[in-house]
Formats: sequence, C-alpha cells, structure tokens
Amino acid sequence: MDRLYIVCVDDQREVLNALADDLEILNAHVEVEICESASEAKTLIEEIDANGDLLAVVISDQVMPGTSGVDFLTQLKEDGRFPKTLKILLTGLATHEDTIQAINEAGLDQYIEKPWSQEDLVIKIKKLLTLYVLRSGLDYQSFIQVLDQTTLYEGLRART
Amino acid sequence: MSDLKDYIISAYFSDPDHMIDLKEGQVLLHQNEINHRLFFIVEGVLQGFLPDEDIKDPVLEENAGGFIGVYSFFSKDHKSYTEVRAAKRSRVAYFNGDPFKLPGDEGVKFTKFLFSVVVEELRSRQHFAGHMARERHKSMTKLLQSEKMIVLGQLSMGLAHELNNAVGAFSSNLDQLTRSLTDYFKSHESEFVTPYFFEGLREGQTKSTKELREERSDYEQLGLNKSATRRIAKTGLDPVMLKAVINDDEQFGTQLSFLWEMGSTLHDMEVSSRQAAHVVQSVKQMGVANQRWSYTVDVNKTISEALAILKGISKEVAIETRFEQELPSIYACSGELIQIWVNLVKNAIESLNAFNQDTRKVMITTQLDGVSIAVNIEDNGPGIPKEVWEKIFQPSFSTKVAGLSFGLGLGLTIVKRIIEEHGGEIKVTSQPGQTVFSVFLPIETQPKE
Repeated sequence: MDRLYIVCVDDQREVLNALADDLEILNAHVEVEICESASEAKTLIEEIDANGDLLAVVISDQVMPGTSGVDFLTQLKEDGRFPKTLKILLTGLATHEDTIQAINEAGLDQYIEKPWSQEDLVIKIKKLLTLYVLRSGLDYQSFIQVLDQTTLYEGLRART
Repeated sequence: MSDLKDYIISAYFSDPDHMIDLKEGQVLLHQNEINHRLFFIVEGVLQGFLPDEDIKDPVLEENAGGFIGVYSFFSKDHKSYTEVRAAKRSRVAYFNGDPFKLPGDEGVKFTKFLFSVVVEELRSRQHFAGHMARERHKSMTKLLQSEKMIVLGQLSMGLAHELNNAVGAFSSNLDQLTRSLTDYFKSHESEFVTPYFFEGLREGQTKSTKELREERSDYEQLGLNKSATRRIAKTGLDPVMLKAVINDDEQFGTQLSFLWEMGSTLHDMEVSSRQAAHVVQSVKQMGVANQRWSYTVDVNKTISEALAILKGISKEVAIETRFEQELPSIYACSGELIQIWVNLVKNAIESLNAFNQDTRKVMITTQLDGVSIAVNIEDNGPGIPKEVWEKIFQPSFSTKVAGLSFGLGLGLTIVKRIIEEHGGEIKVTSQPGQTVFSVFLPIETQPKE
C-alpha cells in the first residue's frame, strides 16, 4: 500500500496524546500511530510490514516498563528489515550511558528532550521524513506537503 | 638480632619481681609522670593517649613483644608524653637500671640492643602517624559526602516548597477553570452537544492505544475526516449511537469530539496536578521541616508516601503491597520512617534494574509480629552475597557506581540508625531471586528525652 508511518512509543498516555495532537498536521499524508509500550509497537510494526506499508520514523521514550526505549530501538536496528527507518529518542530522563548506547547500538538519528515544542518537533520530523523518502527512492512529489524543503533540495542536488 | 633480643629479654626482663599485670583500661603511666623504667610487653596491648587534648583515639599502640615508655626512659626530663593504658588484659616486665653503667660486654650488648628498640620505636610511631593520616583522610571524605547529602536535602526541600506553591496555584486555577466551563456548558444544556463535555470530564480516556487501533474502523463509518475520527474514537462511546446522533453532520461530529476532548483534557490535568501535589507533599514529609515525633504514626501510610516519592523511578518494577489493615499507631517520626522505606525500596529497584531481568517485582508487606510491627521489603533480584550481609550497613559500602543512581554508601547506615532510634531492628536474608529486608518497629516505644 506504500503508506508512510510514524510510530510513537511512550508509557504515558498524556504524552502520547500530546504527541499525536502536535503531529496532527501531518495526518493527511502520513499515518501517525501511538503505542503505550515497546511490545505494542512491535506488534504494530509487524502489521505495517505485513501490509507492505513503510515504517518511516519511530519516536520512543526511554524510561518505560518492560523494554526500554534504547533496547527497543536497538532491537529494531538489529531486525534488519528497516534499515532506512529513522529513530528518535524522546526523553526527559536518560543517563550518559543510555545516550551513548542509543547512538552506538541503536543508530539513533535524533535526540529530543522533554518537554518539546511543537514547532521544533514538526521541523525535525519533516527533516527525517524527507531523508526517508530520499533514501527509499519514493516519489517525493506525493509527500511534498510534509517534507522539509531545504533537506529535499540538498538531497536532490547531491543525487545529480 | 633475635638471639640478642632473646638474651636481653631473659637477662633483664624476666624478673618476676619486675612484672606488672594490668587489667583492661588500667593506667600504667600517667601523662607527665616521671618514669625511669623501660617496659617490655609480655602479653596484651598498650595504648598511649593524650587526655589533656581531649583526643579520644590513641596516638600510639604497642603489642606483645614490643617496648613501651621508650621516650620517657631516655629523655632528659623522664616525663611520659602520653597516658599509657592497657587496651586489654596485659602483662609488662620492666628494667629500671642505667643501661650505660652495665659492666663491659653486658653494656655493649644492652646498648646495641637498645639501638634497635629506639629504631623500632621510631618505625612504630611513623607507622601510626601514617595510619592516623589515612583515617583522617577517610573521615574527611565521608564528611564531604554527607555534607553533599545535606546540601542535596536542603535543595530538595527548597524545591518542594517552590513547587508546592506552583502546584497549589495550578490546581486551584484548574478547579476554577473547570467550574467556569461546567457552569457555562450547564447553562447551554439545551444545545445537544454539551453533554459530551461532561462525558470527557467525568472519566477521561479509558481506551488503550491498542483498543483504539482495533476499533478505529467502527468509527470510520461516521463520515468524519481522519483527525476527527481518531479524536471521536477516543471517547469510547458506542459508534452506533454516535452514528445516529451525528447523522452525517460533519460539523456537529467534529464539535462533539472537540468538546469531549476538552473535558477529557481537564480530567487528565486534574489527575496530574493531584499526583504532583502528592509527590511534593511526600517530599516535604520526608524533609527536615517535618521531623516531629508523634504518637499516632500510621506505618502503612508512611509506606504509601514513600511509594509516591518513588513513582518516577519505579516504573519498570511491579510493586505490590500487602498491608495489615488493623495495625496500631506507633510513637515514631513519620518523616524518618518514610526515609527508611524510600531507601530500602529504592535499593531494591536499583538492584533489579541493574540486573536487567524481565520480571522485576518488589513486594511490601506489613504485619503485627508480637510486640512489633514487621515490615518486609522483598525483591526478586540477584541477591546479596552472604559475606556482605553485615557490611552493607556500614558506611561507605556501595555497589552503585554508574548511571542515574549514585551511591554514597550512606543509605543503609542511615536506615539502620533511624530504626535503632525507634528502638527497632533490621534484618536481611538473601538468595538469588529473593532478598528480604525485615524491619521491626516496637509498638511500645518510650518517648525520647
């Protein structure tokens, strides 16, 4: 089906709702899904993959019951099926070690600190979405509304 | 050398008439006492003190086989520099002649031997000075650490105070806002859409994200746009009923979902503000501002307060409580009890997290145990090796070295001190998968003067 997905993981429902509200403006072109745990997100990602849809961006909290954000993102990287997926750690509480591990082992693309601002969040997500579209060689025209123009321009110029 | 020593000891320090038996604590030499004897310690331990400077720790120590009184014996004024006492039951032999007046070969032997005694005395004092310097360094470090803790404590009290004001203002303004909106929507009750505000306010969102995804298709039939569909699904209201109410009026449907969300947001804010107020209250409870002893302390309640403080770090752990509801009130300091539970539960959580096992459980039980209230804090972590069971209550014993948990090695020492202040005791038993800290608090405690 080739739909683009952004999957958000956080154990606090208020945070998830706030994230979903902030990303609502992307709704027309991408699917924003929220999950209360890493295991819920894993099931959802399986479905997305089974439907032939695309996992563009994963945003995860660090401190959660069960699997932590870094472990979840590391598992996702090791899975091998989603090499182009961009990974964001969104957290108010991460140790130096967690962060180093996230970058080295989970191949983190972005680190966002809580509390975030909507403007900043949307800009960052758009940049990552653009990178995903470019990396995957998708037709960027159909997503142009949710892409970051500068990133897109630079990406296209580098290609030629 | 040792042949010479053996000879000198047998020749000059073996006379039964020149032996003194000392009981523990008995003084051999007073400070500044004139001394013409050189003492050989046959058995026991002797220590030198400086009572005039009010220093409680010994400044020198000599064991069996060593000599004491060396300084006063050889010095010009023969005054004893320290007060010499037996640290335990001891026996000394003494020589009180003039070693330099012994005839011929004997004099040479004795002075040769004395030379080694003096050198040994120097070495011993040097060693003792080194030991004292190390001890001083250790206690300085400990002092700095506890000072750091005090500063942290004061900081958190200040923080709690500031937050208390802010949270107070936030929650009363929120109440005000909720009341105004409620009044407003009540006065517009005729409008069909207002009940959905109250729906949202009453319970907030009850559906999990997983349920919402599963049921989403039911709400897609309402004919609303994507965002409105997702919002209206969160209400959890029956889609068939909604279909009838909305009746394909997209504007009405969108309005309905907004009003529900407004109510639900207020509901969430109220829950969060109550939670914040509770945490701040609990921190204040623990702080210095509230160190009063009272006859009506409810132990179960102090545990609940502690768990509220720990909520932020206890997420990855399933904490279960089994409280005996009929516990008698005890005479205690509730702030200090909270501190005990915070320390013990925090230790359990940190050991579980460090071990990174899949199921992490902490179980807290209270029960009446004869004349005491028994509180057990049990975790299913890796356990504490038996060799260190006793050591963990000593200062500077810490297993925490990295991450957000920083250990000063004072936690359990403080816990033990507080429990002893309450006339209680703490025990630990541990094996892999089951570590239990048991705290016993007596029901009948005499008020402290």
